[in-house]
Amino acid sequence: MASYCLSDSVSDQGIRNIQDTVKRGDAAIAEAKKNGMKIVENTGRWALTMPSHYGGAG
Amino acid sequence: MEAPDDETMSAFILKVGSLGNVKGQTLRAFRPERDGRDSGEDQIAFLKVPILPSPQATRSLGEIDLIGIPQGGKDVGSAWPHVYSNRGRLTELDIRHGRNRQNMAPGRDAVVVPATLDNVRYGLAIDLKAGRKIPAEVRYSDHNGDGHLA
Repeated sequence: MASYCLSDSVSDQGIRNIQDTVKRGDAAIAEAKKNGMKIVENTGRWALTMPSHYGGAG
Repeated sequence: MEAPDDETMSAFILKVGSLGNVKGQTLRAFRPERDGRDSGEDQIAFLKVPILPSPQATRSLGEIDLIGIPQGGKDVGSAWPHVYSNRGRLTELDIRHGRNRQNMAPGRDAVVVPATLDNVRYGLAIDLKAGRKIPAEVRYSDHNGDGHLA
């Protein structure tokens, strides 16, 4: 199995439909499983906050 | 995430992205094998950094053949890699964490610390090549506290 890191951000459309986020997430996970994929680790908010928090390249 | 191959991953991302609710970036990741098998990758697009070398060992990454393992667990989330390159080759890497951005001590738990495009000072991370083949066997720190790898 090959490993991948995903960094996603919510689009304007996604924010407008934020109430369906959990539903969409479940659908995405189901689709991933159907294709033989596996979510190994979810770093949560860190993936989004690290760059701004530490100011980019040192 | 893990997927059988790049095509499967691309198809999945395109399908999710086509709905228009999220936009993102997908990066190939590499991690050391726990059982000592070769990762199978020779020239690695060095975007994901599954290592924590000591600062002394990484002044020139092309000269070392050891991989250090960062402390796992709660502190890893705040780790921030500094990746430097020169003419398309990875030349230096260190990983710091915490409020004062101190260097992370080597430990036993493997973890992938992502280096995004923003981390690379002189070029695109996807163009970087590792200076040499990543060794098959991951060697652990001797835990003597001085940061050197065993």
